[in-house]
Amino acid sequence: MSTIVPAAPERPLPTPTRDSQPYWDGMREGRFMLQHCASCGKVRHYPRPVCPHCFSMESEFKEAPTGGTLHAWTVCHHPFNFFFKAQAPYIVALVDMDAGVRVNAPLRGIDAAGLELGQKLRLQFEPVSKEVTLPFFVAA
Amino acid sequence: MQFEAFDASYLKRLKDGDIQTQEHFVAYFGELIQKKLRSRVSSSQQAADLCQETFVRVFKMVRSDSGLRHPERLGPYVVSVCNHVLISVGRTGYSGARVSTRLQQFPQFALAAEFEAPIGMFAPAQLYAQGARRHMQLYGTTSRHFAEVAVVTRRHAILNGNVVMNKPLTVEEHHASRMIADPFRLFDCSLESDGGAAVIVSAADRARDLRKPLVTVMGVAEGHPESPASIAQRPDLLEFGLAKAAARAYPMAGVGPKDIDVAEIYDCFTFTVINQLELLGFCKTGEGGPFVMDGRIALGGALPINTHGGLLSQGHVVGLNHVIELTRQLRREAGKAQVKDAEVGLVTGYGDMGDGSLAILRRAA
Repeated sequence: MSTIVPAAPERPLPTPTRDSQPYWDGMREGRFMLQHCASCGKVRHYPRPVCPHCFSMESEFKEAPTGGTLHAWTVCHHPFNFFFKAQAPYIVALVDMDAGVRVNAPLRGIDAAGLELGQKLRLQFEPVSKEVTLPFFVAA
Repeated sequence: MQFEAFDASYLKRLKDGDIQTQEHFVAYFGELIQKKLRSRVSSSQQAADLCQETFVRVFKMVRSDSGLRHPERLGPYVVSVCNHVLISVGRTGYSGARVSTRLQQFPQFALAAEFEAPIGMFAPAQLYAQGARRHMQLYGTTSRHFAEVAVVTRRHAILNGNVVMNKPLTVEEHHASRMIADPFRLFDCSLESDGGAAVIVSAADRARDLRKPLVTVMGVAEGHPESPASIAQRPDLLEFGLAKAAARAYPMAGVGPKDIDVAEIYDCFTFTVINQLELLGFCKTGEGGPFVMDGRIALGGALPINTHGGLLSQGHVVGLNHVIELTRQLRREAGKAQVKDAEVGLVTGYGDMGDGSLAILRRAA
């Protein structure tokens, strides 16, 4: 009789699109790449085909600074996905990046009880597979 | 336009598909129907769609074997095709796909699936939690305020009887319930239910002849948030489409927040109710927490809300149960949960993480 060992739950991974590929390529290289409108120059995130300010469809990616301030957060206790069962509870911070966009990512190394809006944080890179690197935050 | 008698020969030509007669028919009645619809639906696009739908139905009927039952009443028949509209919804939120998987399947949330699921943000509870936390930090809103919404809603549900959650809930039980996504505890979250609901909207002149008291739609509007696809990317996490909708619906109805006797507020989360009370102008931004205290939103208070138990305690029927409850309130058929002398009521709806709608209804004199 053999024992069936269930496969370990897999982390949900992003499926890059034509628009977002440079962002994910940057993550893998440890560079925070953001989409800028080639026409009006404004930055936008998440990557999208059309500029929400001037409707131009031309864009370019530029490396951006990784600092930011805390805009909001939650502590996820209930795992809505099997992979995150082992990680819960985990903090997800919503951060106003100095580069002018907002990024949602896990916050590590800080106790949730002491968090304050406007607190300075820094984005870091965590490789989770050969192709994919995900962002997370730490205290600046 | 040349007048033609809508007699038997006209009807026969119509049935046989005579092009000239058909064009005359569409032009003549199209104008009438458009005029009639323009006062009832907000967009000309929608009016054109309904007009087209009307002709599809009329031609189907005229060309069917049985034909029109009363050929002499062709005119009245055409303009009455859209007098009654059934709006129905059914959902298997409990036995079907649960909320965490459902979200990822919607194409409009492709960005959320690409950028938020991999970092552990799946469910509306998590995505709304960040806004709730920000509100707490900015304005001093507390879990005690959230609990008040949950407890009052449960009390109302028990009066209704046709509910999923029928046991009393205390503030202590709310505070002791397990954390889902801080600051949301279990009892801050709406139910995942199997259920159905339906309402019929009729033309006012038709509804007046019915046995039930007439409840009139005075104002209705919908609005969409900036960056509809992701809550996280909105300039203001706490500004939903409802704010834009309210600015249009109140003037349309000719009333303001002070005139509302009872409100059925889309309560996907306790905090979402507090947030909407602010967006609807019942109190100032940041004052929603204290506003719900001291019995104000309970039956007998200044603004009773969710008198049926809402999504939190009655069941999650996508908010159509809120429309039904408001209609019952204004018909004075709400039983033990009846708001005394309810004349004007408001109901809100939500969708896709922040699209907001509201309708203001009035009991006709």
